[in-house]
Amino acid sequence: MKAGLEFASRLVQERLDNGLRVVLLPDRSRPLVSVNIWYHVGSKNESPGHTGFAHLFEHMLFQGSQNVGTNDHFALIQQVGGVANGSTSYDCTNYYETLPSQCLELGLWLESDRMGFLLPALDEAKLQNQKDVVMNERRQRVDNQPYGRAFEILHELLYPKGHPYRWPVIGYMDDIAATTLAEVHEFFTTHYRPDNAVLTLVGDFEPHAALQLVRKYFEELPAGPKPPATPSLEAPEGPQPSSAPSVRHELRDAVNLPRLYLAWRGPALTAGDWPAGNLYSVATSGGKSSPLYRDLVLEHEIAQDVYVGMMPLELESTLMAVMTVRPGVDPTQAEKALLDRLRDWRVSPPHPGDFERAQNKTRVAHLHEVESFESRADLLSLFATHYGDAALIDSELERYAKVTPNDMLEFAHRYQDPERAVTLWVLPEESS
Amino acid sequence: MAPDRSHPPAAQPARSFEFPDFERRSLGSGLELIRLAVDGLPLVHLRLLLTAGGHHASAGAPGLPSFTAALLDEGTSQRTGIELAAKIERLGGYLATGAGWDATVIETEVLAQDLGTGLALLAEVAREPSFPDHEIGRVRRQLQAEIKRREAQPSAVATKHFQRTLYQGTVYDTPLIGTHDALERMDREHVLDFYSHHVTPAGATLVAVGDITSEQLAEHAEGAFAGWTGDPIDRPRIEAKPQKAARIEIIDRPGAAQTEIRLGHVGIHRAHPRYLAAVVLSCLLGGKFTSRLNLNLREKRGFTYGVSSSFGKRSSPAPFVIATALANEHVGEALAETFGEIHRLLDEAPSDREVADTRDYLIGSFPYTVETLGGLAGRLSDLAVYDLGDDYYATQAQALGSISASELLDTARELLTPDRSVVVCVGPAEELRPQLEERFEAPITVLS
Repeated sequence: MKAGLEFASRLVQERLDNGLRVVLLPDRSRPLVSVNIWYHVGSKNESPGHTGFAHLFEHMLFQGSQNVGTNDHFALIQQVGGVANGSTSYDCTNYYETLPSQCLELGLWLESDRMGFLLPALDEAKLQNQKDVVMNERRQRVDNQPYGRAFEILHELLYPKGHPYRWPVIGYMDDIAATTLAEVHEFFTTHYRPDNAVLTLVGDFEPHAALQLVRKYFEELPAGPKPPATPSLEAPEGPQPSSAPSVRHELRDAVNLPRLYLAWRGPALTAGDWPAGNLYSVATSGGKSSPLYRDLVLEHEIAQDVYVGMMPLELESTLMAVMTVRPGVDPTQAEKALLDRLRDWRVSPPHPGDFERAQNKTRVAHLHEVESFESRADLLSLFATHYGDAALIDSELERYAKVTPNDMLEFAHRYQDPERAVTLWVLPEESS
Repeated sequence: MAPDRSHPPAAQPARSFEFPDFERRSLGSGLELIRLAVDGLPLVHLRLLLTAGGHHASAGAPGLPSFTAALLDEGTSQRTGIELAAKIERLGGYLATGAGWDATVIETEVLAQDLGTGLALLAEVAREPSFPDHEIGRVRRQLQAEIKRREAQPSAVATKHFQRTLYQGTVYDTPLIGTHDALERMDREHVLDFYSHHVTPAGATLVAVGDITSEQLAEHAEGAFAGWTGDPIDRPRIEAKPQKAARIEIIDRPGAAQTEIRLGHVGIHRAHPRYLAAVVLSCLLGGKFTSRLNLNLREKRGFTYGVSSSFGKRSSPAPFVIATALANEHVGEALAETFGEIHRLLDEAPSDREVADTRDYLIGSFPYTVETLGGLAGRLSDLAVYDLGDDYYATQAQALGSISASELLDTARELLTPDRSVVVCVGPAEELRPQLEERFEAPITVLS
């Protein structure tokens, strides 16, 4: 049986004269089409004092454009039975809608109007409204959420001043509040351009006709001057295991169970050892029978949950081990137990059963990633953006299949040094 | 040539969507099989739905159905819990058990080549759990820790208090997970007793979706479930005492950055004749981005990141609830706007255009919700648990399409009772109380 599914033979990839990359994958199995755009701009393109901007900007893209009224983007999509959303990460911003396939042209009209003609529609009132919405989003997801501030503190501890991953995607409250309309204009002109974007269509269409429609709406949009280069790391030789080996921090928060975060700087998403790292994460903590879960949650009842994982980022990833601690367990003992287990993984490669579980779980996870049109389109855009070729979607599992248990050992050895972890404890307020 | 951008392009002729055919058959013993074949992915999603549900908890033992469900895969007559997990996870699959209000679900998903193993383990967990004492203690402690964790989660606290007030004195007044003290009292005898009286093949359904033929399912299911017998059990009818008047409860969280809100009252059960109209009504009010509440509270006023409304899905009347998280300083105004929107539904029928847009959204987006094996299994599970009829999804678009503005007005007047609503606010009482006293006459209770 083949490892995964094959798409490359049906894939059409084009670059328009204005630099827009277009990826088309026809699939007539259901009468739907997903329209998916990635702009290669995220919070890493911001600067300290102006954080949260890329995300706030994403909100502004749903506020209408020259030919689309204020609430019409969602209204036009929902009244034909479509669903739409967008999201912002450290590296990229994506926008997507899944529509009944007869409405493909509507999606292209909407996306091209806001790619080409956004600014005439923006005003101070819309910006103020979305600043209020985003500040409420931050309260809901971060400030009023147990453990909600952990990731931003972890990143502040892990990355040095000026590093593009040091601040949170949603931004700091004061920065969100201070955003001006002039900055919105500047950001749009700099980053929202055909040559900084990938447009992917997956679904029920004939590729030649779909490409004609894409040309009709996108070809006339100007490329504009070159965008500034993507921020790069200060250390050109790549990430170091940790910039500050002895960093520890305790946060008192409205939580009932203590939680420990250990973090390290890991490989970039496109690095050769990324698959080994991903498999390592699943081998150690993916599932109830994984060694960490079995040992810390089931046998010793130290933890309520535990996982090892990497945040998939372009410049370098954030590698983490996170453990929520049971009531009544001494946090110091719990930390020692987790560190001891991580030390073991740097001495011997994973057990064959754990290796097999990691390989098979990763394979099934990949199948789920390509299951819906929306998710498949997003993955194709990711490959086009970060690897330069959407067809590499087919080779993803081959990259994983090549990983050996020793590669995983080497990964742990290189990146996850328990003596050099950035350590953050989130502790209940009353125990202070 | 430049395109005409001045108005949205017209749609092409529509390609119709048809809910895929599925087949149903009965095994002896009352177990029903539903199979839906899907090409494309070499996966099979299996879901066994047992009639035992959270609503079968007795008064002194809230959470016993969930506790029992959580223990099903913690050991069988053939394997320990860890051996079960290791066997299925090594194949890339998972095994999960849990109790909802109306059903206990045992679910697994495996590569198609491992169908036999998946189905055998699923049957083993349903039929031969051994409930080892040490696992009972361990799972109890894990659930108690989970309860403790949720007590710090504003959304969980709000939902818990809201349902407690709505359903005081019935089994719905306590979360499915139960309480710390009730769990403390439960031992192996309770679990065995619940299992033996409530877990039965009679009325159970196995839903199989994915890369699986009729013959494969028959062969493996007949083997795995042969000889399993049991008597059918009844579903209790949960009747909440109606609220006499509106009331407001503040769960005080001094210093909280935001206020978590639940507003509503008891609604209808899933098989109620008005259910579909209620779905359209709720979608128009707060079930889509362009809903009245979201456009008002978020896009016009910026009081929230989002607001939703829904009629819950249970075999007895479920909550009608509006859920949101609000900036503390705008809670009074936002709640007044929310009540205003509910009253608007009672005062006048929505425009035909708004009704058509809402219906078309629900009809058009349905295929999107059944793109995945899990999505399809969820729809087929509802069919089985709520006896919706096998042509339900085939005829749903037509049924939705016939719902009119005047029917929505009638539905609103029959089902919405804002003057007898419960409002739960989890946030800083000191800041909330004056805003609420200024705008509402309903009594306000502050709890810590």
